[in-house]
Amino acid sequence: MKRYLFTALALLPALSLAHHGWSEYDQSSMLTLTGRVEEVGYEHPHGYVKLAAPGKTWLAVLAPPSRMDNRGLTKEMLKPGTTVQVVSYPNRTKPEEMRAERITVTGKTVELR
Amino acid sequence: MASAIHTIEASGVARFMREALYAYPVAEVVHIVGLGLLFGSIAIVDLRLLGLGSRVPVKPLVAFAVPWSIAGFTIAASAGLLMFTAHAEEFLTQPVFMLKMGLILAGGFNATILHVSRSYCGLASSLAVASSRICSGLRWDYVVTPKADGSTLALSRCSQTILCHKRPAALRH
Repeated sequence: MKRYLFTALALLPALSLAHHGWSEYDQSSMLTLTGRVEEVGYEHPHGYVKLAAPGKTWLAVLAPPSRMDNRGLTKEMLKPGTTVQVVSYPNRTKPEEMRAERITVTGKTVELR
Repeated sequence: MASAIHTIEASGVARFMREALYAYPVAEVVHIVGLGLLFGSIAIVDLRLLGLGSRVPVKPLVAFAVPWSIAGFTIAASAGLLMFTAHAEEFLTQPVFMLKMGLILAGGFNATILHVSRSYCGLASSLAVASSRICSGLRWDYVVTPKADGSTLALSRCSQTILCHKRPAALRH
């Protein structure tokens, strides 16, 4: 019984990761963009920022707030007007959207996958 | 319609689902647990109706398992509804979400036909016969009923008798 419980618990993170696929993003072309945060959604199932990068404003899809908070990227750190660097992959069909692999806010880099 | 969706997304519940740190992940887990209960319990009934595990009588099995399937569906649907409120518009514009809702409706329709009408008896027994033909190497006469003489016709009649037994109390409306 205990073993089943452990297995079930071990599978939980896998479930939450599988929840929204990365396959809709082109992981062969990695973008590293720095820009000003115009809008923030620290919300489920995925957080996001609107990033004003040179020449284009992107919608960068981040991780669920629970994961970001867990890794030290709090709601207070992610405010409009902040300059951030985002390493991400562009969406295959939506030209304005990208999925962030990691984000650097005020010198702190947080992995989002 | 559009304003109704807007009302849903602006509601306190929707905001809570979006903004509370752990509400959404908990709902996801509950959703999966509900799905596990739904599909797990009904899979056992399906296997029995296909002719496996004949030592377990159909009537009490259905009476025990189907309420758990309904409970599983209720749990999954409730958690799903909570998650839906968070981004109602986005969900409704996703073809995959609409496909999923269509499949749920089709599944519900199928379950209703199976349990309310008696036509499912013929379907289920012909499935049992078909599987007995496919797996003729196995002792399907015993699988369906120990009393069957093994011939297809008798098998069919036997499984009809078993499957079309008076509907269990849990399924009567």
